[in-house]
Amino acid sequence: MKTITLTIDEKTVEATEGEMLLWVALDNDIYIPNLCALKARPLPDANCRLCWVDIEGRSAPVTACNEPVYNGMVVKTGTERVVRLQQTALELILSTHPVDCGRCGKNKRCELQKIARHLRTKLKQKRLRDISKRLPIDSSHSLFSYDPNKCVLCGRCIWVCKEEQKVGTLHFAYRGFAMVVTAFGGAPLGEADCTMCGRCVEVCPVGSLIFKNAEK
Amino acid sequence: MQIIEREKLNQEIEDLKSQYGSSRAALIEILQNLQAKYGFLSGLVMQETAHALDIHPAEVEGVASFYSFFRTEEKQGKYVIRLCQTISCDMAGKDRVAQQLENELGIEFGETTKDGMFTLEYTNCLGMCDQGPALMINDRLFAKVTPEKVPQIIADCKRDFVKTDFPQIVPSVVQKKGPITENEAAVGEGLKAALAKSRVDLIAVIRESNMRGRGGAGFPTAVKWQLAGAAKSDEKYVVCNADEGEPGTFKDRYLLYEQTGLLVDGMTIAAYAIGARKGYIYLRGEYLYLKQYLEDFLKKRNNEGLLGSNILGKDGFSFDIELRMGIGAYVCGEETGLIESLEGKRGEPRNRPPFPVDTGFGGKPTIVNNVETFVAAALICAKGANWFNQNGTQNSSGTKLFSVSGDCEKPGIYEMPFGISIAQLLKEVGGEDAKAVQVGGASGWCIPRKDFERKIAFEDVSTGGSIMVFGPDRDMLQVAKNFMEFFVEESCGQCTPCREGNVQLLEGLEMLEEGCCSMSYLNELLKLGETMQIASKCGLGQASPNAFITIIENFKDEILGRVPTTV
Ligand SMILES: Cc1cc2nc3c(=O)[nH]c(=O)nc-3n(C[C@H](O)[C@H](O)[C@H](O)COP(=O)(O)O)c2cc1C
Ligand code: SF4
Ligand code: FES
Repeated sequence: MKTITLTIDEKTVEATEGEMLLWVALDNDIYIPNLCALKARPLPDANCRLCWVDIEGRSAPVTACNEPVYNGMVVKTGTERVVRLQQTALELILSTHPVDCGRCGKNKRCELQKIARHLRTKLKQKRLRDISKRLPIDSSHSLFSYDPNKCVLCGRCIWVCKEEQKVGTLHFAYRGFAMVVTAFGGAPLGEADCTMCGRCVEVCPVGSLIFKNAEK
Repeated sequence: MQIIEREKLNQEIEDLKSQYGSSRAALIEILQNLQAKYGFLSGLVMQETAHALDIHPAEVEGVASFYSFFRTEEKQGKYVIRLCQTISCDMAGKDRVAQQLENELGIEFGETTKDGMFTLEYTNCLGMCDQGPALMINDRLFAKVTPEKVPQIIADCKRDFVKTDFPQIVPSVVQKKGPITENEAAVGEGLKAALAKSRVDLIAVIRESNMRGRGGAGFPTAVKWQLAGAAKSDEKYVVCNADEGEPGTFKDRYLLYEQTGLLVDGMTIAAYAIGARKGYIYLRGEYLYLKQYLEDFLKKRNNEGLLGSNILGKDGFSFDIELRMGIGAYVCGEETGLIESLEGKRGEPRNRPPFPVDTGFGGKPTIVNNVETFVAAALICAKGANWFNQNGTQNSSGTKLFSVSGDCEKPGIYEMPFGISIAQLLKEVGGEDAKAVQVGGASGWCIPRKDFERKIAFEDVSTGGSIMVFGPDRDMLQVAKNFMEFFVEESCGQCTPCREGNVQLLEGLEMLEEGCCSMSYLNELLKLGETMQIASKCGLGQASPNAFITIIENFKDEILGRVPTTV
């Protein structure tokens, strides 16, 4: 494994060649908004479309979670166009996401709050219309509850359940705006085959999957 | 009783496995067969299929619920009537056909009759835009349907079509032929010429022709073949993209049925050029009525020694083609979504790079080309590069098949050189009084009258073939809404900008319809559209705002300040 150097926002950092830029930045305390990435995942989906950066020599911004680093790479994380893409992605997510932080079990640990702070923008966004879906909350499981309305469809829970734990209980059903994380047949999670590992809850970046003892 | 049923089902699944293989890639074929048999994919069917293929039932449900032709909730009727709701059929009067269907059957869209005979559904573009309104019933297609014809169609269904006046395959209307469409006699010529050349020389001919892909994106065909040819692997694939899902496109349907020989020639030539032994034709589910014909055709080619081992006596050159059916998902026309679907998965497009030419089907080097691209490639090999590139422009060589629909006197297929102006085309089709033309389908651009001198070519306004003409009285807001409804339904949903963004744009159009959208909010939506063009993961979300933006920008006066119509 070759060690290389690159610059991110004028800071020179070392990394292993081929590592994904997002993790290199985060390891060096440079925050880039992200929701769907998981370090253990060899092939990132790059679906949330938040981790935009500008790279010298590239005509358009790229997503950092699936961008391998190379020697001499020059990265800028806060250019105007990058911020605009990130803000729009956040606003779109928030236009379907009930913002009720005071009563949410993830308050202060939520990735959306972190991203909003980073972008210096409000969580209660007003630019776009509220298109939230108001689906029923599933509290059937003994360990955790699942609020599909707060789900950002990052796919992290599905990946750990299937690829890390080799269980595969959770999956995406339907497509487009109707897409949802669910167990087979839409069964309540309390009735699905579950090994109680709790990994899905641990990786949920928002307040969708929440341990019951952490709820207020 | 239940145990017997389960055993019977398992036996069926085993039989299907021996036919389609026991790999994950067989999943969609198996589900299609089971749905045909049981009318829907019940929990039990999905579970047993999952066990048989050694995957989790959740995976099977993920796939089954992705495609619009699969049903997981309730049994469909013996006859599923799918009426096209896309713009050209809409303009041709689909609403009245819909009303009469409801009247005759006593159900609404989305419902099944109590006797289990009929299910009524809407579907997106059936590729009959020049002969709309169109509908399909199982594997039959009906064109130019009028309310008056509806009772007859239903009566024919009830008699199982034992005697019917409606043809099984509705012929395409070719209004203007050209070098590509006039040369069906050249079948075999190009293949013979190609196999006589070395691979390098063969790709050089394609390069010299300057041909760019006919599917819409316009990637140079020779470069694609070159890259796949250079990729190191002893397993490579040639895929024909016969998904033709772009609203307003119906020229591949014609080529698939009437130029099949040239298509197979082209695919075989490509296989030789890149070193592939296996090919797939991915045929959209809406063209189910072509399945049997194409399968028979491939069998015939095999018997003639034009597919299979040592083709045309060329030692060591073997190539086989398998037909695979789509099941109602426009996004599977995107080449990586298509490959995912071929692999038996949800048709969610992949990140690029890696590109299919090095990591494609099953992770192997794969070229995906449009039907017309293969047909043209076969003819280029037969007639030479100059024969092809003497037409068209420097950057867009050759003639192109255009599918023309909407408000014009002579809708149909036109073969014309790239570089003609929209005005010239309108004159040809009898649509001179148009106020706007949508070039490139729902993903394309709305060109207003003042810009009719613009040229149809990759370097100006490009299209995979779709041309939709809007007459002076068309309500452009309704046109925009029809396109956005299409994208909301067809977005795969994996990435944020497209999944949520299209819904926001559609909501905006509904606000305009109700007359309650301010200019400043509309400007926010235009900005959102521009961001989606950059931020979306695949071409669907990158292109879905095009029509929205160009219609709003050109028809603000018509669209703003509507007085709401009270229903
Ligand atoms: C949403 C979407 C749908 C597409 N649908 C089709 C299609 O139906 N047929 C097609 O040939 N190409 C379609 N394409 C383009 C393909 O991704 C690909 O570029 C093409 O098949 C390559 O063939 P060509 O180079 O011969 O044009 C689509 C692209 C996108 C983004
Ligand atoms: S742009 Fe749309 S269709 Fe393409 S990956 Fe994203 S959600 Fe899916
Ligand atoms: S973290 Fe990169 S797209 Fe989601």
